[in-house]
Amino acid sequence: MLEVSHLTKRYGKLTANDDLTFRVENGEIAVLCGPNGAGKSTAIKCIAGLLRFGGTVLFDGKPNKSTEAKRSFGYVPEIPAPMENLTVGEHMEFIARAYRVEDWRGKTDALLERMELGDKREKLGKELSKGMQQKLSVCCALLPGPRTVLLDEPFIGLDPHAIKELKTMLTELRAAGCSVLVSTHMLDSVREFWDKALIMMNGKIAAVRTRGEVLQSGENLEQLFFAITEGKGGTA
Amino acid sequence: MSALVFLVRKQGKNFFRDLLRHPGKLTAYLVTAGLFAAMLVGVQTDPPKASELSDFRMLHGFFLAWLLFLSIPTLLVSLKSGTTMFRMPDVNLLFVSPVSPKKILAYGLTKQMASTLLSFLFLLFWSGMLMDHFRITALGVVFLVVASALTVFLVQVLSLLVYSFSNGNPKRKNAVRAALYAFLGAMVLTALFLFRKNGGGAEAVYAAVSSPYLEYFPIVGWAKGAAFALIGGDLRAALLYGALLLAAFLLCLAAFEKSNTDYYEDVLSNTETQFELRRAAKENRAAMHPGGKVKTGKTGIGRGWGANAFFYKHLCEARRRSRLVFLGVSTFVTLAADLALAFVIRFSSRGDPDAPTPNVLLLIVFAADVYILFLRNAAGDWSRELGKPYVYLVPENPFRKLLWASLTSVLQPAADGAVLFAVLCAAVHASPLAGLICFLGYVTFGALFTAGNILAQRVMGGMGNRGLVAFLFMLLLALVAAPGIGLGAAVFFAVPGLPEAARIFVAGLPVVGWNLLASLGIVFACRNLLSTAEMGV
Repeated sequence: MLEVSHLTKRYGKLTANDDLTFRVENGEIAVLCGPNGAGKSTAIKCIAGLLRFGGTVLFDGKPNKSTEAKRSFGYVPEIPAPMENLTVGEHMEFIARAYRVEDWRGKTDALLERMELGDKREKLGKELSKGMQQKLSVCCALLPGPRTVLLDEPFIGLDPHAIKELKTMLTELRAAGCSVLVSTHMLDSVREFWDKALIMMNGKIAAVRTRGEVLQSGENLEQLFFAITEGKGGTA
Repeated sequence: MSALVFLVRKQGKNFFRDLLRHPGKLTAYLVTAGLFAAMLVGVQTDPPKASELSDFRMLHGFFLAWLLFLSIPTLLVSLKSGTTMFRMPDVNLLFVSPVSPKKILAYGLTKQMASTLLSFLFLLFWSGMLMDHFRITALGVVFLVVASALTVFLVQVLSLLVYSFSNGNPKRKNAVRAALYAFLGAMVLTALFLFRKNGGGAEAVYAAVSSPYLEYFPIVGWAKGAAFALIGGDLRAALLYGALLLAAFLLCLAAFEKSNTDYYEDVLSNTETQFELRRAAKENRAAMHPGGKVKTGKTGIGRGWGANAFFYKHLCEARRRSRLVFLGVSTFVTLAADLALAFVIRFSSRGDPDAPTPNVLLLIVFAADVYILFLRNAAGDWSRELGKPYVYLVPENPFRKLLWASLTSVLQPAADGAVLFAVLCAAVHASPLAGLICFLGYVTFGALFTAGNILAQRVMGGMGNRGLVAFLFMLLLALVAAPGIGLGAAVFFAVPGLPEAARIFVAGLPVVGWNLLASLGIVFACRNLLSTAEMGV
């Protein structure tokens, strides 16, 4: 489970994230959506422990920068960052060794096959297209078997097959009891599987809705998003 | 108003507005200008004594070598990846607009000329040294800087033509490459011929490198000729060389326009690469270098579990970068430069009773190597790792990650140092004891610079490419190293009775010890860096 309490991130005078508080339960997919510049990527990076921030972020009750917490979450960055002189297979080996994943070979085969990277094992990071780099990032994040997965705009650059496969993977992770947080501004891409929507505006969480609440109100995610981001109603 | 004129005017105006809105930036510019002015005043009020002056003809040789260094590699690289005078916004907005490609080219050339001139202003900082050593005026230095910028600009225009001519045609590429080598060979042969003709010796070298024959070679020769004609007050020769340069520019432009009006494709690849490099520098991360085929060879990391996986990953990457793992092209380039430096020092001090002994010569080269090591250290494995998320995400003790992820950045200078000082020691006939202490000093300075980078990451969140911060960082490191160097100097003067090599060795030990101690202290003080640092985002 992911618990974010009063997360605040400032760059000088600019407040990128202002007192964010939310939870992502086990077996839940939460989407962090908002217009460009709302602070989604900054929030995900703070949660992943890549930026300093005020407030607390707990993974299964452990502070996000602790070794125990790091062991329990996977992160897919917005801009994929493969090692240019390591092959695809070596990326997976490195993650397995760094995260001390014992039975990594079988898991690696399965992940690479699902992402259609099986025949690219010997390709170097710098030889991969942007889409393939993104697929590799997803494989690296999932190899250690995380209990929580953070994905920052994961669908950008992926081909239709990979998008479909990633969506299936996310629902499988949910079924396995994982918490999933997806940051995106492409509402269409998460329409089928979101459980909780966290809508951000100007660095704040402007509204939190569950799928049930939205269905009950007769709205859909898109209508809710525009109602809030264009100032036509909605409260947190 | 023309769209392009509007663009230039607005960009210029916004640059100055931005400067006013960012007092830090403005201060940096003013401080730089102030430092330059102070240096000029210092040189004017304290003119060099005649005995301190170097032979002015040497400056001819240095300047010609400098122009060749600026030109030939640029032309060779442009054969592979082209060149550009545009930025990504130009490609995205201008290239697709209905503005004439010729006008866009003129716009690109104008911008390029301005930015080349600006980027060469840093050379003015050498003016103090040039004025001190060669009795040259501030205006003379300006002539040299302008000639350098003009050469680079012309070479860029020529690169554009060369790439457009040879793109996708290996035969043409080979022909251009052969022509470039032939040009370089002809210059070297001319210099050698003149050297022999003048009877050998130092006088013959000076006469050869300052010979007007070398000024007949296109572009580099003409630019050098124009600059020195202006310095010497020979306006007629300056005008002649200037006219030749202008004619070369117009000829390139005419040939380019005639051969290819659709030049967009030729500049696109390089513009994209430059854009990615700039973005990476701005985001404080290492850029992907798409060029250059890497032989994958043996695959697999093979060892490491937990934090030390970073070390074995770095070894695997190093193996892929070079078959000799830690040794690479840079090692051998440094070695060649060291040997050349040793040769020049030895040659220029022939017959001088105060000429440096082999051990002192080794120490001088060592000092130059340490400076180069400082510049290279920022591009080590450790710095590259900080641009990727894994070193922060991996669930291991931050101190262990820090040690393992920075280990290859310390081993690299050890491997380089072993080769450099073994060869240099033999080449200059220095004592093995002096060679050993230079090696140890080099390794520990490598450790100190890596520790300094760790400290910079801790204090300033990385160095990036910020010139002024890098300058301050260099000063800070000099301060950290100062006690060791001071102690070393004290020991050196305290043991006058020892043989020279032993004296150097004994004096080097405090430097080595202090560097080690300071490095370990810094790394230990920053042990929690990876749990508190911010990734370059």
